[in-house]
Amino acid sequence: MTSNAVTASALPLVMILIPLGCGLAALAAGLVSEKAARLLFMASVLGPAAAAPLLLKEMAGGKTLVLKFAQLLPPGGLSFRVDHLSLFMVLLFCLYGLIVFVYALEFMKDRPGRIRFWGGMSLTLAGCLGVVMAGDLFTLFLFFEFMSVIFFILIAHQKTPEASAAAMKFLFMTIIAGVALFLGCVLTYLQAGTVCFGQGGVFPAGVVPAFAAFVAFMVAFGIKSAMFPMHLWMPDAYTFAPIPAAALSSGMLLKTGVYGFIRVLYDLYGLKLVSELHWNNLLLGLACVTILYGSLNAVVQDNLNRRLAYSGIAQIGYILLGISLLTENGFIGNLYHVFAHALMKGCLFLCAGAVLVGTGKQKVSELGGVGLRMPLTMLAFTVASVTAVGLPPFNVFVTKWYLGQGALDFGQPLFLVLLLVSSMLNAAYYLPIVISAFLGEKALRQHTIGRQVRIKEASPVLLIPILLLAFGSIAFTVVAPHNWPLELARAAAQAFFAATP
Amino acid sequence: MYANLPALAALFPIAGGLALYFITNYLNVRIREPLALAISGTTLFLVALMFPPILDGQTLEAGYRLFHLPLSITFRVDGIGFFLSLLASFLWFLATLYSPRYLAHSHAHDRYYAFLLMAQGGCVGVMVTGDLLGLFLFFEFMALTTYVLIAHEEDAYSLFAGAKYLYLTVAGGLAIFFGLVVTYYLAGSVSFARPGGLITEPSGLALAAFIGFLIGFGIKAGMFPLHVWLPDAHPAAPAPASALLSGIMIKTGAYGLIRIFHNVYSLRFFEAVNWEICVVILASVTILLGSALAILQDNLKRRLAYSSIAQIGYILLGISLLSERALVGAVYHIFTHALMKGCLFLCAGAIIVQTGKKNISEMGGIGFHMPLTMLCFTLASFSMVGIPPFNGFISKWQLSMAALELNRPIFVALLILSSLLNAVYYFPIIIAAFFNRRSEAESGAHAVHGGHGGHTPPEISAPGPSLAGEAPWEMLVPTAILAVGCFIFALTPVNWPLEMIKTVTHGLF
Repeated sequence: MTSNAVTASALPLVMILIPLGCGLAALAAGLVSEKAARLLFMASVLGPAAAAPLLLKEMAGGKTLVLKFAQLLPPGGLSFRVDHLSLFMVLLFCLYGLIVFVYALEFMKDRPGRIRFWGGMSLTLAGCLGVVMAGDLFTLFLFFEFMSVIFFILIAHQKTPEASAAAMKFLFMTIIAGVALFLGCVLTYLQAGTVCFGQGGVFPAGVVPAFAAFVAFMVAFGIKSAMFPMHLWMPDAYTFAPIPAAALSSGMLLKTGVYGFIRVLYDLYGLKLVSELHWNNLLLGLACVTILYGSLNAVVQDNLNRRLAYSGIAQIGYILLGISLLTENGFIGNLYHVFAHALMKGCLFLCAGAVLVGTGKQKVSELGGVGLRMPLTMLAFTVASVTAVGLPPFNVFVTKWYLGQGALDFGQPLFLVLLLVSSMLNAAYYLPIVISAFLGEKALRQHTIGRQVRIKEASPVLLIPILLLAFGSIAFTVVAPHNWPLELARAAAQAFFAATP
Repeated sequence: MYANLPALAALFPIAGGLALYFITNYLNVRIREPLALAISGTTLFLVALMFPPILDGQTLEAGYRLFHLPLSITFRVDGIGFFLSLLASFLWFLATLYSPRYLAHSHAHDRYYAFLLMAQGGCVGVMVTGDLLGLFLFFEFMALTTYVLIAHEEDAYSLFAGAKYLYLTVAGGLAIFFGLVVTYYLAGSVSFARPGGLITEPSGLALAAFIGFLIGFGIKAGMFPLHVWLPDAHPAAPAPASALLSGIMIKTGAYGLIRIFHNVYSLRFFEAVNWEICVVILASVTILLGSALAILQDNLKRRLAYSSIAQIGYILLGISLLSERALVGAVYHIFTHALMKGCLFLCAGAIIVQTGKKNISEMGGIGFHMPLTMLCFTLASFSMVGIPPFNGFISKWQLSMAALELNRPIFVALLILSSLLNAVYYFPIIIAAFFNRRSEAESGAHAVHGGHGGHTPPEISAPGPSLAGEAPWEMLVPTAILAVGCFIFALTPVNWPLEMIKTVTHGLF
């Protein structure tokens, strides 16, 4: 059980400032010494990761950390707040960020503009951490915008016409999201008189402007988390951005959108108000469409990154479904999927990157026999694929279990059927890649000289992050003594559901 | 000490299979086959060790926090689980013994043995877990590892057959998952150990879960209309894998349904709602359709595959009649069919290896080249048709008696009709093999001697009866053991398996 104890702590601010400072320093140091830039780049993620245990320690016993700068930005001031939900996100971002940053260090090693890219990644991390540790809607908005604008640079990194077009698409949509979020922020302040989190429902019940704010939030966070029909930026961005940027987006940026949904629905509006007014049904409908739309589109894509992008849209649908069911099991399922999807999809993206580096191929139809050439990489890909289908004992099984229970609690078993249809489609778009990578006579011929297969794995620095993420799909369900992410998700769920009977 | 045996028996071959892959890849290739046989044999031994407590009527139980899934997994072996896992391990041992000579011409041996052993772990695991979650876990594990066995040849046909199998099996797994989630929602538990079953109140959700289970286990069992993967998968897989697939793996679907009928729901529940009728009808259609289609096939393994569909129909019929005697017939038929169909597939494999022939129309006079193999084939066929004293007769007898007790003589007629059809599609093969000398002379001209398939250039043999084409002993011994198993128990003073089955099924009623 969570107690209401509140402790003031500067730790959240420190965790945001480290990557912010290191990122800026890396950009500056890059002018002089690349080595210094590399060190600062790694420091920008090692810092928060090292501080995370301290955060856990300070929060022991269910405390909530807060920090307020009332004078800094009127009218609300700048504030930070870390509860179990934020903690879940922060820990995920630190863990996942560490793995992706190591990969990015190696992946971008010889590419032009790498300093700018690394600096951008550090600043994006700072923005993401800021969003999930913000103590009020206005602070959240600031970091949200900061993160989005920086990420624009990462998408446009390759400077090709396609990359620029994708980045512009992202920029326009992100500006719409920003404006919508600002509008929602203002409307909330006008009606409720506050934009602070952690007060358990600030809206006076049943007013029309509250719905206007709700729609604004839907647009803002819907665009960020790529919910149908606001997903349009995502497939292009993932296809033309460098792989680490896509991995960063899928594991973190999307999840900040999801986090925004949770904060707004469960915290700002409060469970009671939303379930009385049934506004969640709007989100529920869109979540279902998102799942089907993403899965069906993924099946027909030949570009691997694009396939992963559409699959990501479908997976976001799972998460939104879990949020909008408004049941405790559904909430646990959604939060666990935030974690499970980050590891699983991150692994797939990093594998795609390693294959691109190793063979120069990005089309699914050309990947025949690649498993014989890069067995460990494709083994990780296989594990992540089987995870995506949701077979036990991998992570996504736990997600589907809780989402399924949540759907039944909600009283609609058809949502469970929808999840299973989507799982089947997952199998339909991942397993052929796995099969053709390892089996088939044609595949064998492509990668052999005589009878000997040429094994040529990606460099260890690329391979280890991939293997770590693949291992992560099973680590907490089988190897670790406790399923910590699940326990944390349960604690976060209890904080919201215990308050409202 | 007995309590840990079930988990050990399921996990040992999985670990062993993985170890085998790396040992043979990096250390020593020559010990591959003996090691595989040793692992399979040890598993058989581990399962057999459970016999004394099971004989005392105990149930071996152990709960583990093995996985941090929402629930933990329990292992629990009662009589029926023990009997079937013993049968599975035994058949696996024989198939492992048979494999080296069959695969001599093939590729990727390391992969084959590793996945063969892992599939054994999955199959034994299905039968030794004490809850639906564990059953689902091992069921899926077995299904996925089996895919690699089916696609082993990696030609276009086996990849197609494998893909068909894989997608259907994933769909089946998801259907079972649906049932699993709903069962937990309704009952708050998924353990088989709760007396009186888990789901006790009829409701729409309970029906939906039942349909989910029926689809999931029906796909695995090859029940009409979900059997479509089976006729392709069996011919595509290597013969020992087909023998296992048909002999025991599709029976896991039937086993799952037994658990569903008796442990998830209960007999009293079905008395109230009569949902089992749809299984009865589907089983009857499966019997007729499988038999009828088997007649049309010229590819021997394909004919055997359709015959398996018909036979699984008997088993499902016996399960869904929900009387004790019918279940005895069904479980005895699982046992019988494992032996005889295993034997037939091993014979078919021997014929392919020795002569390269896959089609029945080319097999005239083959009995003169491979008399012992074809003798085994004949014995197994007799059992298939149900001639006394072969095993097939006993299971049909039990099923017929059960049908009469339930006052449904129509099923007796169905069984007789199906047996007739069995005769129609098995006896011509035997007659042609032993009596068709003309085609024997023709086929002799194509026979390959001493070779094990494609890479040896075919030698022209002198026409006339000879033993030169007989399969090597490593292949003959497992085949012969299975063939002898088809009748030996009827000749012993006590029919041990039958007595055992009567005891274990009594526990469910």
